[in-house]
Amino acid sequence: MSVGKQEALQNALKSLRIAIPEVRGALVASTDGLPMAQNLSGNEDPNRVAAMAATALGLGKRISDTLNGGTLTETSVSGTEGQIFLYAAGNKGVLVVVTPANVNIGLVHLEARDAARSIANIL
Amino acid sequence: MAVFGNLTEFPLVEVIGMLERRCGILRFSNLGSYRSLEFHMNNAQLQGLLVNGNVIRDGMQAKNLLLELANIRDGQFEFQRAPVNALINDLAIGMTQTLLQRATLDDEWHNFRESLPDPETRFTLATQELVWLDDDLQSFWFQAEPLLEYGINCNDLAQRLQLEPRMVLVSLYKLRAAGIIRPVRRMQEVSNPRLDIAAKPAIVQPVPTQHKPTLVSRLLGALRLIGKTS
Amino acid sequence: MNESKPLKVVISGPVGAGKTTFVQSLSEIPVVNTDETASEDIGKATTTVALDFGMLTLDGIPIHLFGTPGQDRFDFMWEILCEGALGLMLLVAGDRPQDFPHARRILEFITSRIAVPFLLGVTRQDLPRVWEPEDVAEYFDLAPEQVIGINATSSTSSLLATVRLLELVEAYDPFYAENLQGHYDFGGTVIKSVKKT
Repeated sequence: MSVGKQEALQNALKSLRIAIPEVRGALVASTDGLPMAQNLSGNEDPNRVAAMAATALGLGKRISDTLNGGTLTETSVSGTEGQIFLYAAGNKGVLVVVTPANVNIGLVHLEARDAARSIANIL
Repeated sequence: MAVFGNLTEFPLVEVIGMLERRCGILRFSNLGSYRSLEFHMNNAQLQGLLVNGNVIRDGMQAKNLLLELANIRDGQFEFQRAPVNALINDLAIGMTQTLLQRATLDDEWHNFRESLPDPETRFTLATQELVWLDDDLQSFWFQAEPLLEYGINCNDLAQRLQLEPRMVLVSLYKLRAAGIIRPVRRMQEVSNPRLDIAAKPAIVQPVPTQHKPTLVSRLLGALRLIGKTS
Repeated sequence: MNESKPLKVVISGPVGAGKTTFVQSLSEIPVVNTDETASEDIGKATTTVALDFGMLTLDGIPIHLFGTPGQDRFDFMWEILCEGALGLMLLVAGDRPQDFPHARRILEFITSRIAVPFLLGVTRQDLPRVWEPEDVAEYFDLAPEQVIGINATSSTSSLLATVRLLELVEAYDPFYAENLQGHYDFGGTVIKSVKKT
C-alpha cells in the first residue's frame, strides 16, 4: 500500500475519532482480513481484529444474500461493556468501530457511514 | 516417491526425527558452503558421511559438521531408502542428540521459530525411556515432567515454573523432537466423550440395541453405496 | 431421537490444500462460499474468510460440511467450527512440504484442546512429485491409518476419505454420532438442542 493511501486512511480514522470522542478504537482491514490502518486504544492485536472483521463481514454478506437483504452495508456485535460496528467500505475494505455500550448509535452510524464512504474512495 | 523439501521449511533436527525409523541416504544440495552432502543413516544414527563426494571417517569432524548444519536454514534435501548393506558404515553418531545440543536462546528461537508449536498446544509424556539430554534441557525436564504428566501447554507451564515463555516453547520443541513428549490428543484423553460433549445438562441417551445399526454405521453404509454407484 | 438432526464434519488445513474443492466435490447443494479477493500473494485469486458450507445427506441424515479459512489469522474459526464436530478432515498438499509445519501446528492446536476424531488427508496425489501419506504420517507423528492420500477434485476420492474418517470415528466409539446429534447450532457452539421452527 502506498504511503499516501496509508496516510489518508489514518486521517479518516482520526477524524472519525474526533467526531465521536467516545469511540474506543477504529481499524480498517482488507476484506480478506489484513489490517490496513488502525487507531486502537487498548493492546488488541490488529491482525486478529482485522481477521475477525473480515470473517464477520464475509459471513454477514452471505446471510444478507440468503435472506434477500441485498448488498451488506454493516453488521454489529453488542456486549454488556461495549459495541462493535463493522461497515463495508466499498468491496475492498471493512471499517471497525469500537464504542462503549451506551453510545448514541444514531450518531455513530451517521459519522461512521460517512467515514466508510471516504475509506471506500481511498481504496 | 522420495521425502523432499528445503531446510527453510524444516529444521534439520525435524528432518532427522521424521526419518528416525528409516534406513537410507539423505542428500543435501547447496547447503551453506557445501556443494553436496550425503548422510548414510539408519534409525537416526549417522553411519557414514560424504562431503562433496569425500568420505569423512572422523567422528569429531562429523559431529562438528552436524552442529554447523543445525544453524543453516537453506538447502534442498531428499531422502531415499536403501538397504543397510548399501550404506557406508564407519561412524555411529546419534544425530538427534547432537543436533539438540544447546545454542543460545536467541539462536534457537530464530532457528526453530517457524516450526514451534502454538503456545496453547498441550503436551504430555511420550516415552518412559530418556535419551541423552544436555544439562539445560535436562534441568527443564526435571521441573516440567510432573506437570507434563497430565498434559499442559507452554503458557501454563511458563507460569507454573516461573520461566520465560520463549524458553519453555523452545524446550518443549526440543523434547518433542527427541521423542520424549508428544502433543495431547484430547480425543484419547477424554475417556468418556459423552460426558465431555454434553455434560450439562445431562442428556438421557437412548441405548441403541444390538439389531439397530448405529448412526455411524448407517452413514458408512450410505457412503459406501454412493461410492459404488459413482 | 430425531433422525433428521444434522451432524457436522469440518475440513481444515493451510491455504491451497484443497478445502473448498473438497467441500464442493462432496456437497449435494451449491456450496456457500465466503471467498474474498486475496490481497497477499497466496498463489490464487481468492481466499475463504469465514467458512465454506456444503451438505451431504446420508441415509436421511444431513451432514453439514464446514470448510475453514486457511491462514493463521483466522485460527478462532477453527475452534468455533470444530466444537461438537463428528470429525475433522485436515488437508495438506503433498507437493508443498513447506506447508507441513503450519498444518501440524493447526492440527495440534485443535486436537490438543478439542476432542474430535480426525483424519489427515494428503491431497494432490495425482502429481508426480508428491509426499506419500506414510511419510507425511512420520512428520505429523501419526499412525499410518490416520493419514490418507486424496485427490480432492475427484468426488470418489473425497468420498473414500470420508469413509475412512467415519471408520476412525466408529473405531473410537460406535455411538459417537448418537452422542453428538443435535448438540451444535450453526456456528458450532455446543448447545442443548437445536429447536425446530
